[in-house]
Amino acid sequence: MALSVEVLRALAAPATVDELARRLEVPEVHLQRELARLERRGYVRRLACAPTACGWCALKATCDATATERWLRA
Amino acid sequence: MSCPRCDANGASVGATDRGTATVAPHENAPTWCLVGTPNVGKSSLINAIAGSQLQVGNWSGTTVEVASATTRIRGTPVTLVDLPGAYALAGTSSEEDVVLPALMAHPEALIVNVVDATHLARDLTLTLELTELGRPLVVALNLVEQAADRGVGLDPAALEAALGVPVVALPDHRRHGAGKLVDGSERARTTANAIDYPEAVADAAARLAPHVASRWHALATLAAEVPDTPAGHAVAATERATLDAAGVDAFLAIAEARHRAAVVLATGATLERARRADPSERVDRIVLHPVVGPLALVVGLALTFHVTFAVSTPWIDFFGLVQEVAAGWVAALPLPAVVASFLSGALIEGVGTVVSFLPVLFVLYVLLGFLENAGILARVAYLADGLMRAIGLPGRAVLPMVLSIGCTVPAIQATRTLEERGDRLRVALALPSISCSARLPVFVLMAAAFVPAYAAVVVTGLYLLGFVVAIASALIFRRVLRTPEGSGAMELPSYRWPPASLVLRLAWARTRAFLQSAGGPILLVVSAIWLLLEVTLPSGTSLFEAVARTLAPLFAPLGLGDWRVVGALIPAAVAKEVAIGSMALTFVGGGEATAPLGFLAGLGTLGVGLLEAARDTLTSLWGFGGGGDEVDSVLTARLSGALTTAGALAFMVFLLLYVPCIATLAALRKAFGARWMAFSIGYQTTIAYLLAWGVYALWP
Repeated sequence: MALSVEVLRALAAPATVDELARRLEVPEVHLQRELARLERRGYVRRLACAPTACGWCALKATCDATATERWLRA
Repeated sequence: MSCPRCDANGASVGATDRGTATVAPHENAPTWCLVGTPNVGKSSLINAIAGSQLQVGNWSGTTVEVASATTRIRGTPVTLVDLPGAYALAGTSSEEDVVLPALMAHPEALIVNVVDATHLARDLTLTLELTELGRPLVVALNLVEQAADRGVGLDPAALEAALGVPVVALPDHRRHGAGKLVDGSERARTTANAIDYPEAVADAAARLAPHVASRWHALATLAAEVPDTPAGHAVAATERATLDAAGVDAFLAIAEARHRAAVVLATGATLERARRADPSERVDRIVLHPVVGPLALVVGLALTFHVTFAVSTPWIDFFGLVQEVAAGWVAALPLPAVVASFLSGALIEGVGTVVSFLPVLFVLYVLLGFLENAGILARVAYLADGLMRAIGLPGRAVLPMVLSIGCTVPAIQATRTLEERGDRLRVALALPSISCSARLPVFVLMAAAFVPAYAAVVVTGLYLLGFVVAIASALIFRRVLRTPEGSGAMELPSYRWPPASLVLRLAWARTRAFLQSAGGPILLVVSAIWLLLEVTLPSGTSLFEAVARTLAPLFAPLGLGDWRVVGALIPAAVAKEVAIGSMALTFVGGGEATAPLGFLAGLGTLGVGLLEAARDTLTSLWGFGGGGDEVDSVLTARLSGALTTAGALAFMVFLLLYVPCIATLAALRKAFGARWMAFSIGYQTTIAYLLAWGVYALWP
């Protein structure tokens, strides 16, 4: 649960799993699980940049650190 | 209850699979269950105590199942149970799910909570969960020396007094450290450490507790982290409904309360020490100096672009050569005219031109990856933070502005970190002025064609212009929207030298992603333009040309009278980088026929070009300004004939600032509504037109 609070606070701004892992000093694999749990509960959401929101933007997958998916507190 | 993994038989399984216990498992041996977060050193501790060889490693998840070892402690056999690392008792994975059942399977066992001293608050949250099981507990503080390296001293006695259970500091994993733990275990006890839960949650848990195994189970049931027990289901459902009706989110309320309590405990147990000399701080005294810092920022930015151009320009040249050779091969093939026209006019010249700028992106991503992972980008943000505060912008606006260098869409999302809606709006409206990486290939093309000796300076200037316009816009909107000044704080990581493999891997992933994601849309747009160029009106001009020629007079005051240049701005409103493909089609695709080229002759040309590119890469690093050599691809050569230098600069300024791409508009609409999206289109286009006109008019 400690991780839940820290992740939710960190996701006040969009962040990738990689960014979160470095900021919180937590292995990515654990963050993925925590994010999945929080997503199931509706506390966080994937920032639909890569597949949808960027639409036609050809750089959608390359923009600063969006090579991986970003997450955001819901 | 019995645990299949660590009863008498289970212990032997564990010993066989994971290590060798020093003593055969003893049926009546007291059991110690080691619980802690991942990679905290539980297995190492067991090995130190028992002399066993459980698998250990400096990464999390080393223990993926329950294992055990049995040893004699002061003459008494003790079974040590090594549980997988977990951040909470309610697991999020199959291996974490083992922890709670294993603890419940050993109701008599002593719980040894191994705590990471470098993340004390986080780990004490788990400790607080364990206290709520109502079981004998001892806390073993591990990684104490690493905490000291970070300038944090710990007071185990203070923590013990606050927590109510023995706390033992383990200086390392040697036996004398383990001996302390053995002493502590003799004082192990339960505690009723009171966490300040919201009253409604505390009352509900109290009513539910008699129906479940412990207070922890009551709280976890309320938070829907564990399934209801048959005995407690009715009460649990009633209590959850009551909390829902009262608007209490049990999960969040419990998590926040535990976290707050853990932070209080950690703060009380922490002694600030004189931090060991940190080289990062010495460097920061120079880099973050109020005068030297911004200068270093500008020089660093210029240097980044210089190296980018110096290294990549020869390869841009080489890709241009590849296009020419490919077009020559197509011309030599016996293909129908339409197919040959599409291959050379749309596919090769359009997409090929975009692909030829992959070297620029790759080199830039290598440099940015290095800056990011070395902790330098954080300093850039910090410097900009100070600058923006000085001119009345919220400090936190730095984050979206830095993100905007990559892509404006996540940057607009990041404005959510600003507290005032007015701040969010004015920063979001200012962001499209900052150059995203989609505009870079176009700038590279134009700068290389018109100001080859100063390409890096021009591109740096465009980035700075974008920031200046963004900041000025935010200030103007501040007056209009009358928003108060926001606040914010930033953290600076220590400098570190990132592994080359990591930087290269990141750069390659981003470059490949560009290729993959850009390929489809650009091919589509370029094909559409090629088609529009092929559709001939009765007047003899193509449809695309007719539209572009209609608009061209509007842009004549900017020095952009050529319809092909104006035409490039139309699809670029969808995505800026498409301008390159469009110009490649109109400038090159529609030009004179390419001479047929033999296969071997083409290979020979490519071989020579490859050697020249490798040689030029080495030599151009020593010059300033994009390698010093003009990029002599067909497109850049023809662009030079269609525009003046002033017109090219005006084009770049217009492209930098005019209507944001469709994705950005969608993000603005979602965040602030269609009205502000429309305002952004009008505002950006007006600013772009005025500044581009100014550049053209004032250029000597």
